[in-house]
Amino acid sequence: MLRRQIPATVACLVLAIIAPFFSGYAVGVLVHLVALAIAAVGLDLIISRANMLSFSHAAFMAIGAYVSVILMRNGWEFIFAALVGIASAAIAGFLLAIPASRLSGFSFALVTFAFSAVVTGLAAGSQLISIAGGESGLSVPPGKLFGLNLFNPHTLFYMALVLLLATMLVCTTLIYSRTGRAFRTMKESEAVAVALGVNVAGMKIGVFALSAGIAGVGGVVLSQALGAISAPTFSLEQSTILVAAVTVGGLGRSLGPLVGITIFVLLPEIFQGLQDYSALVFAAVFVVTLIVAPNGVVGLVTSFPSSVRQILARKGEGPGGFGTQTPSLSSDNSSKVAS
Amino acid sequence: MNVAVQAAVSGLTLGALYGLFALTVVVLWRTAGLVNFAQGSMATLSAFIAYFLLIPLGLPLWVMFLLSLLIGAVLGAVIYTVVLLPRSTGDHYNELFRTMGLSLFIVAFVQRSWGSGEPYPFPSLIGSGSVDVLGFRVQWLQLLTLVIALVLTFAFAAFLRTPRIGLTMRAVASDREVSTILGVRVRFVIMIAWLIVGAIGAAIALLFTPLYSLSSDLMEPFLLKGFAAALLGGLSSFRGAIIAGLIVGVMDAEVAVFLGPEWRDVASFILLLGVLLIRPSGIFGQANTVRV
Amino acid sequence: MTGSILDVRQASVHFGGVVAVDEVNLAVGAGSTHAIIGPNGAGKTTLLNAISGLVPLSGGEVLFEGAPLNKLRARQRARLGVVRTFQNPALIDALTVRENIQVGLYTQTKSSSFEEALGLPRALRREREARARADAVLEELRIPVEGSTPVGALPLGLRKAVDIARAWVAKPKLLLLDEPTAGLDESEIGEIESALARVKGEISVVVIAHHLDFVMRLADEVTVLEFGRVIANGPPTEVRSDPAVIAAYIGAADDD
Repeated sequence: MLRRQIPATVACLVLAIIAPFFSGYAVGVLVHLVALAIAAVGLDLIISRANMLSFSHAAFMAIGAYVSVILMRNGWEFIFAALVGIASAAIAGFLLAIPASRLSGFSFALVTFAFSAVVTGLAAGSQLISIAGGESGLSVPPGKLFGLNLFNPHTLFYMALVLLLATMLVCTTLIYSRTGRAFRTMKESEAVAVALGVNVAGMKIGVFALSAGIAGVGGVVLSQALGAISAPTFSLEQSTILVAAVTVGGLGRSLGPLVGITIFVLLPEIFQGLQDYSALVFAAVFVVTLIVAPNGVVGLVTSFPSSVRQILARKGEGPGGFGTQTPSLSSDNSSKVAS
Repeated sequence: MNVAVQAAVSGLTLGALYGLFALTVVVLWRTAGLVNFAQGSMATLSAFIAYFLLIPLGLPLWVMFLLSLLIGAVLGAVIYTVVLLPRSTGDHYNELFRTMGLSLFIVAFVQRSWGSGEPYPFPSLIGSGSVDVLGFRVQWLQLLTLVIALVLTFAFAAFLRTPRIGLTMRAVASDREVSTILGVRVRFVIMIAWLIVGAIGAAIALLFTPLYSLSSDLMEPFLLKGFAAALLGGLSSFRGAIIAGLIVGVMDAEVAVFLGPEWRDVASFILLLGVLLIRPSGIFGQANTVRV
Repeated sequence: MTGSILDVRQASVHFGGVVAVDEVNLAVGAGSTHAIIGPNGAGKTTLLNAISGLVPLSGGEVLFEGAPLNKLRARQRARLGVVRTFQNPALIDALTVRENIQVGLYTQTKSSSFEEALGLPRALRREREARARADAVLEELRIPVEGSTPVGALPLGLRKAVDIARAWVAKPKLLLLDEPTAGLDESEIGEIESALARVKGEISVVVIAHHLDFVMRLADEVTVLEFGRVIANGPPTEVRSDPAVIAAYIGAADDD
């Protein structure tokens, strides 16, 4: 089970080793990347395991970021402010999921969509301007953790990386535990899960709260990386991009969220000349990926050897061999491929 | 009291548009089993195309309005053909994500071409005058919007009753698999649905521009309230969509007057969550049974 | 009737205007195997769904060990020891046979999701116990498959067997089996039958089946449903020679 974690861990270790050679700016971009990746790991958990679609994960990041920043501006220690911020995101997820857990997939997605619009509206709006800063947002006081200054991008990067690894570890452990198996049964058939004694609504609410809390962790890290937060950072569009990233990366695969986020964060940095067109290019990349590689980039790469094998086998056996099966986004093909 | 009624009148206008938006959501949901996240951006794009293509021609406004509906319909058909048909796996999440990517694409395209949030002067379909109805001042524009919205709704209802296409659509809506077995061309029906959705979307955008002015974020209010109306209506009821749209619109206007405009979104959201907490299938939806 | 573990009294289920189950009475003796047979659409699965709480009763009541179940949700009934299988087993293809069977232990494993996510010692210990129990059930039911085989690779017969093992592993008091033999060939039916014969007497079983020979060999008592109503009830040999049953069943028996 932890074997699945190896590629992602190696990727993180490589990043950790080469990071000291990067400039402050480059490391800043990396922290940004890792912060989003943390949220993406949480998002992947609910989409691929619990079959719940969320367009509100940037909003949960916003809650984590705003609450922690507001508390720090009121003199709180970073660590406590961060914990309360993360808890707030989880509680928001919990409350949202109570009515929403009874809905079908699409209706649930629409509710999270609406929630996201409301949260950004409140963050930028005049109702909470005295604490959330309205349109101009808030500046972020640099945090200190165990005497280390998080204002230093390298320090922040290592903290973020540790958090990302811990998040992935927790999610993987959970997926392969009793709870994770109950989830997978639920995904196959809710009736079967219920008949085996699983509290379906409770499980959905719980995992959604966990996922929201993880997004909150990403939000806290992102706020530290940015130095200033405002509503557009956490907009509905950002939530959509998170969903796009985990999908393009490959749902339900440990490397998926990392690859997806990397594509969406790094490519604009690389193609800065494209500035004007970058949003267009990314939307196009997203749509084309969905059409060409419904299992995402990681899915495409891992299934590559087996499709080659299939083609070879087909040659051997002549006509009558069956083409590649139509892959389905919502089913987990990873272990079938591995086996 | 007077203020409340006045607000309700403008709320009904807005609500009719929310209802129309919800109607398009329901149309696609029932025929294609799909929620189209690009609904709002498609409508914005239609309005921009109408602005740049039709206004220079100097046509009468009503001709322009009808031509815009045509543009919207064509846009819907093109999107269905280019974005949803290729390598269709039948996986609903995949389809949903495609519309999401499409939405990002259209927003990026509109912002890149015509600026982010920059307003364009779109001519109103009607002058600014007003009329007294039962002692309340109602702007012609509001009245016209309400009338067109209702006409579109009834036209759609009548269309569903036409023997050939309408009935086929309802057959597909009620059971896609059985319809396939019966030989109904499901793709054809879904194509019709996209044409309708595109046309109604263009109508919404055009009716909304005088209230909001044409810009890249024209349809933003609909993302929350249009979808909320669709959910409140039960996601599968045409009548429910319109009524829920009117409810959301009126509440929107009342909240704006009595609590302040900044609370409108929050109020709609609380209404949505509250209703779904009590009735997960919406006001007019059918209660789900456990599938075994 | 005393000594029965399950009492279904005057149970009715209506779907809109359709009466799927019509005032059905059923008593399952403790430790006995009770078969429900009948033509397609007779309401067998609906009755099972009503017993396990997946559809609400429109009338009547269901008593389990003398206590009414009506107000309990499906998962609460499962916790009481009423466990069932489905026509379509809904196993997790990506996981192994052992892991799938462990799902059946969901309610009996005392560790929290929190402990599991963090991989705390207690959760790991419970996990090891659950694995051992899953393997033991494979052994007990003589299911000829390795615990580490991915379920996706199994033929239907073995999938059905794993489904039964998943229900059986929790040691339920009452096991409800929905068409355990549907779609299987003779040798596969034989395997299911021998697995069930092994647990016979230990617990009470309600089984829906199409396959008459299978029912006749396995059941202590048979209830025949037609159009939602009970048309016959009694020991297999008696029911088999009942003219009403023969009349109702001839068409359906040809289907298989």
